[in-house]
Amino acid sequence: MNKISVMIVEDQSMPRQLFEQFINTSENYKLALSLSNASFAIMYLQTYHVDLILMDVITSQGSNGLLAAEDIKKHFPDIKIIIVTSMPECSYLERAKEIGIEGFWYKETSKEPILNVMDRVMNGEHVYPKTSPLIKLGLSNNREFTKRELEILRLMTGGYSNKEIAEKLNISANVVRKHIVEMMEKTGFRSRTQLAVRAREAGIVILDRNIEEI
Amino acid sequence: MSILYLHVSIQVLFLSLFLLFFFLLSIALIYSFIYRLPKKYLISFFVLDILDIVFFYFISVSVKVTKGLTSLPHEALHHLPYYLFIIALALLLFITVFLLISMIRRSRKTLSLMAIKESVDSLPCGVLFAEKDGRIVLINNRMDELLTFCFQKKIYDGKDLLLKLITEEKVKIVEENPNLIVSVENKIYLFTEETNHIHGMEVIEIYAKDITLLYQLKHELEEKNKKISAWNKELKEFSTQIDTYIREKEILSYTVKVHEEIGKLLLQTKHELSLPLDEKRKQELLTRWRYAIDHFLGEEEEKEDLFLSFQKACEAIGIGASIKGKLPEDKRSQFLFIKACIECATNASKHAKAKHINIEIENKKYSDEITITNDGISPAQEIVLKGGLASLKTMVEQEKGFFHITSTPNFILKLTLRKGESI
Repeated sequence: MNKISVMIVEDQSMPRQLFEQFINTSENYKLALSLSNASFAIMYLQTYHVDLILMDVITSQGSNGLLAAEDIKKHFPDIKIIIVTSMPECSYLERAKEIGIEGFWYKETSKEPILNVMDRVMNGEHVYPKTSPLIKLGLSNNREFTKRELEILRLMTGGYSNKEIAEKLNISANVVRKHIVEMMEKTGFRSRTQLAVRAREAGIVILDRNIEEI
Repeated sequence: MSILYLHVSIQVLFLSLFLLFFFLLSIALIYSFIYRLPKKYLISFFVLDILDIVFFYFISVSVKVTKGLTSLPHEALHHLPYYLFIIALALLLFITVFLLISMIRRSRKTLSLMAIKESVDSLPCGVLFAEKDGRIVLINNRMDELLTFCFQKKIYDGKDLLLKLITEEKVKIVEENPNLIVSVENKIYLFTEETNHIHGMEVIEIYAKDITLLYQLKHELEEKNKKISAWNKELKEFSTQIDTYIREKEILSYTVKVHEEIGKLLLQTKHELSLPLDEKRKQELLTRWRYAIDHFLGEEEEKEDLFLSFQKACEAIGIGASIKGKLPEDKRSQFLFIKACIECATNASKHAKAKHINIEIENKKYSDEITITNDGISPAQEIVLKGGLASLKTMVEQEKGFFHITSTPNFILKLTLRKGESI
């Protein structure tokens, strides 16, 4: 039986080597290629035959794995992709589903081993966790925030003012202020700076500066 | 006798009326001053007074004739019927009442000078009106007090008042343009001067508003905004560093896992060595040790340059890439430039069968420009943008950049983006 050809796109050497080891010791998979930058993955697909890609979201030089996956899906729809990330950023799950990515795996919190997920994806399943990991943020956690609050929090981590956030989201500055106050009340943080810094450290929201996408 | 009494009564009435008209004339005089009533009322009462005197004279003569105290020529007046005088009396009374009502109505519709003064005195700001030559027409109490305090004397000349004000010792200028804002005894005042024309007369209007609280709040707001800008700047810098920080945190977490794995391996090896080991078992153990040691020693992560990564990717698709210049610092521009390189390299390899692409980046003062060419087959016709290049063009134009492709004689892609982060 032909082994399934896998491309790994992961900028950190340790998880990359771990994945390489899993694949090399597996009977069903073989390693086609290992990259650290998602932007160039699509170029390699012109010459390398790949059936499955394990794609990190934040790769080297800040290139975005979700964007790269979206591009790959347009040009190579038959290639299956599994997003692997340690970031609990809640929008990644939604974006991955919108793009049509077949699997999503949290490096640190997923109980299911990656090889199991790969097997299920290659069998035609869409394997997604039910929700993003539960991350504490002050007195609250990431699941207690509304979608709009997370959008505002994401832009706050980029250092945008209330007015700039309002312009980006097409809402009024007063509404932005109100949401920030509510988030501070939920978390118990004393300032918006503290809220933004803690949220970014926890990885609950990540602003992609390449595209400033929400 | 009865005729005499009648004539005397009429005489008395005319005398009373005279006194009344005189009184009303005085009232009209006062009202015309206070309420600026038209002079017609004054003239009317004056004329009524004159008429009254005339009729009084005639009735007096009539009484004298009746008494036999006089003779011709006044005797002709004796034949004047008495009801003529009653009619005249009634007419005069009617006119008087009419004029009085008209005057009262008029005065009710007109503001008195005192009312105007009371109103401006109750204003929260200082008000001063002066004629062109400086003569003060109206000044309210607040302005009067303020100017007296500033100049240490009463002010009677409104000409060039603000120019004189800023030279006073007690007055400190806070702002001069566009409005004059001064500080007087820890209070902040905003002075505005306007020139208007009222009834063809040029009038200088000066207003003084106490903006102490407003100014204080403005100052506090400016300080807060400065702090927030500083925080935002720190936050932006933090957000560029956070990825490195999180990466290091993850590396640490994996390192800890490897340490744990080595610990477990040590225990397992100790156990295995106490038992007879076959070759297969030995090899498995050795493999696990090699893996653990590799991670433990830790290969230094290569921090690969973006261009180097791109060149390696180009090699993978059988095309060489030479790059001149450096990528813009702005992340958004970097992303678009790299996307352009990838699209051109892929298309050059696939469609133009190119062996080499040339990339030139020019970093100008206000913009960054990238030009991409290749040594492949020139397009046979005008290139129709679709797929990756079409989406690239859309993104560039959203950033108010310039995107242009030349198809003949050779393929050239030119992309220009303004410097600085976009919102």
